[in-house]
Amino acid sequence: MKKTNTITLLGNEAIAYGLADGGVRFASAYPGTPSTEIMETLIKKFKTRMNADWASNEAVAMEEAAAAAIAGTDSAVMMKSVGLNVAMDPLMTLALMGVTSAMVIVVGDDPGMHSSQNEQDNRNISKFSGIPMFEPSSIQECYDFAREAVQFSRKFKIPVFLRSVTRISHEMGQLELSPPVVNDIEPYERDPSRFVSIPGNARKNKSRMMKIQREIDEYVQEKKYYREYKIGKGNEYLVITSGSSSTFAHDALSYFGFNAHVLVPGLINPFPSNRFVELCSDYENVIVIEELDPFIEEKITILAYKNKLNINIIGKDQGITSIEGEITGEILMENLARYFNLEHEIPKTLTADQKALLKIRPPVLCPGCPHRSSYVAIKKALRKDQPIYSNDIGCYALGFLPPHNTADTLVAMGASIPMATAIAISRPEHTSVAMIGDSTFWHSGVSGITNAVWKGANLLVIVLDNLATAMTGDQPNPSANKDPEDSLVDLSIEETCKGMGAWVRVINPMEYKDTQRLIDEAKAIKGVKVLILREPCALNVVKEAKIKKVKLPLIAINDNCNGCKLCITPLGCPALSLNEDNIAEVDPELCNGCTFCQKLCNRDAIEVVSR
Amino acid sequence: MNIIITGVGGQGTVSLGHLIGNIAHNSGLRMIAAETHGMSQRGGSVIFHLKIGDERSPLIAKGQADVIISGEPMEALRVLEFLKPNGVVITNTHTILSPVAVQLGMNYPDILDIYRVIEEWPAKLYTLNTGEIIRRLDIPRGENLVLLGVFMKLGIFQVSADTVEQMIINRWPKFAENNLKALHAGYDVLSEQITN
Repeated sequence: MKKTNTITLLGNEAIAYGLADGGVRFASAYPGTPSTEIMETLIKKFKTRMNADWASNEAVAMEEAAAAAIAGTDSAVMMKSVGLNVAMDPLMTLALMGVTSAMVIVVGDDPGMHSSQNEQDNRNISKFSGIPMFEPSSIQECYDFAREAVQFSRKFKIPVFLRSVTRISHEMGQLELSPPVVNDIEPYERDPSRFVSIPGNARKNKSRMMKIQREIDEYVQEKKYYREYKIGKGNEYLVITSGSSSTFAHDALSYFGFNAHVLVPGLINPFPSNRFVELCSDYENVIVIEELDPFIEEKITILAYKNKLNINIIGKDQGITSIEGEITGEILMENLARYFNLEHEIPKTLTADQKALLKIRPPVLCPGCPHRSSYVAIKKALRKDQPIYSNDIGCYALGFLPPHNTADTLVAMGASIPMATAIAISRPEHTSVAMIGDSTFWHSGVSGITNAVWKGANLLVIVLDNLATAMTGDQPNPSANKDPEDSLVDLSIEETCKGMGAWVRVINPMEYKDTQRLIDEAKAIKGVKVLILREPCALNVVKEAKIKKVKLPLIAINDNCNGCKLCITPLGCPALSLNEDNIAEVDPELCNGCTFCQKLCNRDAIEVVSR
Repeated sequence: MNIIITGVGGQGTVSLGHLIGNIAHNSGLRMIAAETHGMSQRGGSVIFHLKIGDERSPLIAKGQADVIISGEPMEALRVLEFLKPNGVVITNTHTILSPVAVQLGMNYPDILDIYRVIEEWPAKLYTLNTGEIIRRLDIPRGENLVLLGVFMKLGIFQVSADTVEQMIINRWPKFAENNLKALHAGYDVLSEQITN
């Protein structure tokens, strides 16, 4: 039953509470699913306890948190799985020099790639860098481990990872809070021989760090950063599992009535090797249940060889879990049933005929989205120019889908501009177009412009500026500050690009004929042309109308409509469809009143009405 | 008890899930929930898993859900494999075809075919047009509270109506009257469908 002091939180909120209650006083982050809500919660709930703000990218955030911790302020930095790649450069050196107080690096991995461009398992980065890594498996552990990570980091004066995954970060559950820790604030002490990483110092740092790692390894074996429990009699199998996987393992093993002893490392690197070896004297069969890479499996395989353990490891090769995708209950149950010959009724599925009733429903650009208007104008203007579209990361990546089809490539944050530069140079017979959002421009687009102007490349850079970091739920960015009360300063994309020597124009993409004309003008010019298509995110237009109690307009179709689909086909707006009589129809619940469709109609069949 | 709440991005599926999860929490029940997130507000399918009880994994396995609550009929069908045989499906009848499906020349299937597949699963199906109910009540929003009302009235969610109503009042004090109207309309829908 309910304990009186439990509350419900999302995993990410619990991590934020844990960092704050653990004593963090400086935090930085770049938004990215599934990690975004951690900084959002710090800003919303804990601004009085710490300096917490978004940074322009993950490397910047990592460097800020590092400097704070080197100067003696307990810090934290948050990013998504692939964000860690951006921050790898400072990370690998920090791993050798350490910090003077605490530094917690929270990384949100995305097994199943719900909203990421690859499926990297960042447990490997913990091993690669030698930075210890905690991995929570419940909402309570999100909170407890975040707190513990701060203390662990303070103790050894090194950065510490906290790795979550989508399932844990976006899980909602119950937890109990503890009183906040108040850590002493040390005065700044200068130590250039450690923190100036020139080769001589770096070599000393490496030797020093190897020694600290041996100390940590001994410490964690005693400190027991793991939990263990029995399912059934617990005498037949030893099961090793961690994080999100351990929850599915628990439910599936309980369902089948396994007699298993379960070891769940909360700190997965360094691994609880001593306890594992000890347990192996009682078990012959060891089952490993882990999502993505065989991280634990490889570790115990090495331990088994070095300690001459007589065990049989049942893991990836036996098909218990896959290297691909997210673990789910039914997949794990099916795999266990297959390998262990267990009686298991495979859940009933819909027949092919029944499934044929399901029509696809991918995410799409929202009704009223300015990117939709931008794409209509860009496609019309470039229809005869064999354009190659180097797209980038943000909502506008949905231009990949019909009817827009405005993405030839999408690789990494900010990659659009360098890729379009190389296309411009190597494939001059095509029109090379880079498409990048405002937040992504500041994240890593600026260096692409620098390079393109420097090389004298002939390309069109379209900045899809919706004045928000929209994809992750409307965070601020250097040219889109949200709160007039805070101390953030507005930067200008146009002045920045002009300063670097590009041809720059700004226009509202809702004026699509003017936008088309401007693109035509840009085509005639040689060099780097930056066209900023600026109009606020439709979700913010709706939000602001609600706050100001203004009613947005609504579209209505009149008798002039002949069902020509001129408004439907190029737009792909969720609010517009053909009805049973083959006449355009507006869904008033979905229409955000942008009125862009009216501009495409040549029969005056679309009217603007009030709600 | 395992509940799947589903709908189209923008319908407030995750908010409804959080509300039901917190109702369970405030009623002293152990709960765990998972949401699909990230791109979900962009008109894609949204699924929210809510488990009340002692299981630890946040996702409901196929064939293990007791109830599906859906903001859109096709989405109810999309998650039907999660439902136990003889489980309950509550769905809004308002259909939404993705603009991408429109582009690819697909049509919305016959809604009666969707209902037939659900009933043959077998499942007990309750259908209602939440938008129409809201318009009839002449209140600006509250479609999800109508769905919640239907679910509450089923009697399988062992929480008191007072707890739920008090939570709704506390959560949105300014709109308490309208929200309770929507919830009660849900109660009435179920009573009518059972009598019929």
